[in-house]
Amino acid sequence: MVGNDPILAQSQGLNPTRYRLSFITLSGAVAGFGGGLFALFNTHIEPAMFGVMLGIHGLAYAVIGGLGSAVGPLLGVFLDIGLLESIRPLAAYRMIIFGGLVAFLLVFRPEGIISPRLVSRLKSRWRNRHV
Amino acid sequence: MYSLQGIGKSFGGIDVLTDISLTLKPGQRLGITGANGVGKSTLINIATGFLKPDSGHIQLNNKTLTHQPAWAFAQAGIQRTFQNTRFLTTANLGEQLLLAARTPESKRRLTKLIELSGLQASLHLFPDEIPLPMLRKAEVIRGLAANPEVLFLDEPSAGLTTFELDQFGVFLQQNLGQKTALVVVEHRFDFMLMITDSVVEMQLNRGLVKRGADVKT
Repeated sequence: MVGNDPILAQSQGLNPTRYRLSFITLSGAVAGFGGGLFALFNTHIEPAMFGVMLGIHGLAYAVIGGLGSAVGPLLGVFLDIGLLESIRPLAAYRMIIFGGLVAFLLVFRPEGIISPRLVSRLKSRWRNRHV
Repeated sequence: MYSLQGIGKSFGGIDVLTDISLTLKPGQRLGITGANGVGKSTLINIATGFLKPDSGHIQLNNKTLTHQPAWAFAQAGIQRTFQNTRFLTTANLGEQLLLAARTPESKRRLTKLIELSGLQASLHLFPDEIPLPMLRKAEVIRGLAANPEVLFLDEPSAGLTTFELDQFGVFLQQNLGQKTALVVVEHRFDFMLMITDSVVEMQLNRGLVKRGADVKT
């Protein structure tokens, strides 16, 4: 609610600034921790390791999997990396497939494969499973 | 006791509100009407903390809220509905109503209100799958769950047929607590006369003018 409609959040007594700040801080901390591990693992880092494509893939995980749940981006990583690594023999052509996948999803499933709505539907089905 | 004192607001040099004062006792039902553009919505936005007045004071039970952010108004017990109902598209109605009820007491009240409103069958639906009259009710329920001091309704009649509006009015009358003061901003006089006990008219540059029984419906 804070992310999608801050005015609505305020009308229900939630302080959007506080929540946004804490979540940005939290996600920054996670990313920073990951970066630290990455640097240790590689023993050295240089700017060339962080090209544009790295960022694009990072966004693609979310676009493919869908935001609104923790499972979404995980599925995104699985599909993106899984697909790209399994078609390595196609060499440079695999980026066409990657781009096509992203474009296809943006058109037909703009909220990602696991959209917030799907999460909500599954949750209520799970809750009513005994009914 | 909720009060606005000497509220003034201007947008880019144009005075929209000048010296508006208003006092509400618990349980009072007030209607505000007026031509388009006289500042009714601006007044609601100021009264609920979404806009800050250029001058004047806002008080609730001797606590000054004037410079507080909107979420503090809500926490203090000032609830509102929006002119075009406001819901998230990403969660079903039941989840959203539950989000609004954060204490066990308001959860109990919410459950009861949902039962009385006949919304149970729609709880698993998303807001864009629910007809407007139901959403209007749901929005009021969301506000009432917190047992607010003041509830502001911004044009609840918009988009409803006379019959639907009538039902909405009955529901409102039956479920407003003794404590809650109600302010309705509206154009529909039949509806106002049904649910309010006094009506004031907002006039350009003249503030709130009392309207008696002479109003034409």
